[in-house]
Amino acid sequence: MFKARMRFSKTDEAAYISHLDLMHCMQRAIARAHLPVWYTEGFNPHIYISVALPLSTGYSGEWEFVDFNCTADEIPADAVQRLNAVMPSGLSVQEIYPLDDGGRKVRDIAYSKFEITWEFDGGVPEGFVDAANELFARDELKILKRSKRGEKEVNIRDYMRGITLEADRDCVRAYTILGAGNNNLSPEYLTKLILRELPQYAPDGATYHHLMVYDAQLNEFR
Amino acid sequence: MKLSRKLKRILPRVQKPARYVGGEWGSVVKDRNEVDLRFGMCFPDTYEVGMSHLGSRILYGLLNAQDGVWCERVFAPWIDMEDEMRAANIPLYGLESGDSISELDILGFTLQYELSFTNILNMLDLGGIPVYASERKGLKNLVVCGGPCAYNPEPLAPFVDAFQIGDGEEVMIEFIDLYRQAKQEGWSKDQFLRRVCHIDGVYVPSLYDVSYNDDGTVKAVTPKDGAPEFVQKRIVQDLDNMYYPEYFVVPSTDIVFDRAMVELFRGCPRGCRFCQAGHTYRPLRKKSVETLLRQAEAVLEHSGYEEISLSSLSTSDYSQLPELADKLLDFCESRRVSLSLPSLRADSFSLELMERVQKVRKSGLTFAAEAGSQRLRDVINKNLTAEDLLNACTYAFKGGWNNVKLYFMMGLPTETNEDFDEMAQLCRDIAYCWKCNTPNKARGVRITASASCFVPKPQTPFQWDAQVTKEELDEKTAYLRTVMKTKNVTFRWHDSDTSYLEAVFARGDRRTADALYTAWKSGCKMDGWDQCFDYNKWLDAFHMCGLDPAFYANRQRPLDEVFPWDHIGCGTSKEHLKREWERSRRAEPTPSCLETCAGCGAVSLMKGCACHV
Repeated sequence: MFKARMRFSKTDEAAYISHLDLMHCMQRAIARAHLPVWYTEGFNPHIYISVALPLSTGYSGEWEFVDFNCTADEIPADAVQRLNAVMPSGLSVQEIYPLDDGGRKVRDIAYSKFEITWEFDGGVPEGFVDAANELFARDELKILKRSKRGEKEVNIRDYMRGITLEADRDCVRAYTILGAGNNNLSPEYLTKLILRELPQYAPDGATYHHLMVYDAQLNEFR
Repeated sequence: MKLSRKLKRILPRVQKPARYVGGEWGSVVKDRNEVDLRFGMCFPDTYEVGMSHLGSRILYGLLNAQDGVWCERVFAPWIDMEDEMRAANIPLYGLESGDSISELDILGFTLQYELSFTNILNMLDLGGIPVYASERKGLKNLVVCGGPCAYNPEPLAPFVDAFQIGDGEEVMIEFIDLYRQAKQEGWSKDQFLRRVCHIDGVYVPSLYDVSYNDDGTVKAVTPKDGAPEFVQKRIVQDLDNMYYPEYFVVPSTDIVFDRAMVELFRGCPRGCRFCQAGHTYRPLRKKSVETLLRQAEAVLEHSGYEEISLSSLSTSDYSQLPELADKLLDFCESRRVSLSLPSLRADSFSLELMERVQKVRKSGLTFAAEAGSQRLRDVINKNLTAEDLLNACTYAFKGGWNNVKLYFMMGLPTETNEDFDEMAQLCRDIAYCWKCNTPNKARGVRITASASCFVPKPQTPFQWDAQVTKEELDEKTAYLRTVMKTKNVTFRWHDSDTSYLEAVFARGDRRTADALYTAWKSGCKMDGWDQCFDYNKWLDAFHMCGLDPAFYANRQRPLDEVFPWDHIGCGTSKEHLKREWERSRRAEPTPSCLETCAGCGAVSLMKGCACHV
């Protein structure tokens, strides 16, 4: 038996599957695909899986991970294909690979890249992109950050590793690298910041798409 | 389904948004341009409740198995989602296409409980569809209902175009075939309704006039335009060859009963006199062990479920249960699937079986004793003695169980305080039984006795009986609280307001539809949910419509009264129900069908063969 990692995307309808429900979805899909996986051995045997860096309900993402234990000598060559044939709409597996030496540890994850889409139903207002660029270039962007340990005032810039904006017809897409793992910053704070600092440009809606995860040296994590 | 920007914007703000997006494994998506009939399988409650319903799963599979037919699922959004949808102008949509339900040809609602009726009106309204049948002029958006509450369809008569009475698997296909012909040949809605009423089991309420006596009771129900005088329910005679879905839609979010299911048999041989299912699912028909094993395997294989449950009204009465359980267990163990056996009788065989099946922690045992005294159990024909119950408890306590739930009803016909005294005694005996038999007293025991309010249902031997008034129920509850004082026994009781409303609509006539409409207009919906139920709004609605709810709920009806549902057949004859009512007043039990035939009349629906006893 060895540890294996599955990299998958979670988009469209599946964006609304919560973390706990996602675990059930994955367990059932693995059962349908008859993959050789390890079951827990208690009174209530179930497929052992763990999801790294769960996405908030409503976020989509394309660089997500599930770890499990493989009971065969190697991962079946058609495992990805078999799983994708039995997935709910919006969940799709890209690769499954063994974690030979234990693999990269989930705790090594330090950053996430997000695509934030700010929607403007009447078209992007003139001046918004410049104003937003100016806003995010400031050295100090104080926000009240909420965590399990309570509220705390922090400077967003300490959590951000760059941001670029791209304007489309009726939306602006922001690509930004934000702290993840122990130093997590929700991309929603960027929207809140716009609402606070640039209320004249308040977008009609915002969506969040998780593009990539990195370690502390900004190497792609997989 | 494709999610619009508008919808995506509200989903992050509502609870459990996964309920509203579809895309689950097993859901069926077809090309809307390549089907000629679009059906909405509507469950008038939330996704979690509706997705747990086996009947809807069967019909969903059946309809989608037809070429050219696309069946989608439609559920009532929870109130937060409804508010958001109304504010954003998003109509109620099918979970497969995301299209408004007004795009669908037929909307089929299942009627599982009376308190979901307002949700039907609300769902139609959310889809932009007029709630009154007379205001829906065309063939499109035809509203059809079926399910247990269709055995008295009258409170919904003005809203519904047609009812399908009884087992749906066959009548549904005949119904949609005629609809497709009508659509193709351009019939008017009237033309269609006049034809469809001749399909056995189909009731078109607009083709019947109801007249009333001065005292408010029904005088006569008169068919017109050639509609049949009596609509007998449909049954599927051969369950082995009946359609059964080999795939389930596997929800991507938690639902109430999240497991695979196979149906052992239809009908119940017991004949408890308060039980509607026991009288309306007759005659008894069962599936063979081979069929069940094949279907269980297919459903598990396709769904990936980790649990399978056997469904029936009385699992212990399946004659080959030991054989079936053995074979199923072999199969389940090899796949690490757990087996659950609901509706077992309180006998040692059942408990042994449960012990074998449930390797998981011994959580709790539930016994539906229904009444506290033997006399009252004979009145209601519940074939269970205190001795059975104590034997079962002895076995269970010895085996380490320490959590027993007992279900009782309050307000049963002929009930007195002495019956409650005996109920309390029974609970004391069970507590004592635990003391004598448990291997580990230190762990303690939890015995819970819950009492719900009896609701007389149509098409049962108690359809003539009055529901006790709220005041009487309050007195009964107060008395029970004084006698149920045993240590280790927790007594719980249900609120009577919802039971009262249930009683009104269970045996209501067409005029109660006005109150339903008025209550819905004043904001009543999701009445089965405590946080939504507004009793006073309902009382106001009855008052505004000039209706006395007590007339429907609390009146002892004479044996010769014409009932609003007398023209609807449930298989069991009214004569049999009457005989059973008379026996109940003599506290005379009627043996189960497995022992001797009581002559209920349902066998006449079995063409050329007998009940599967």
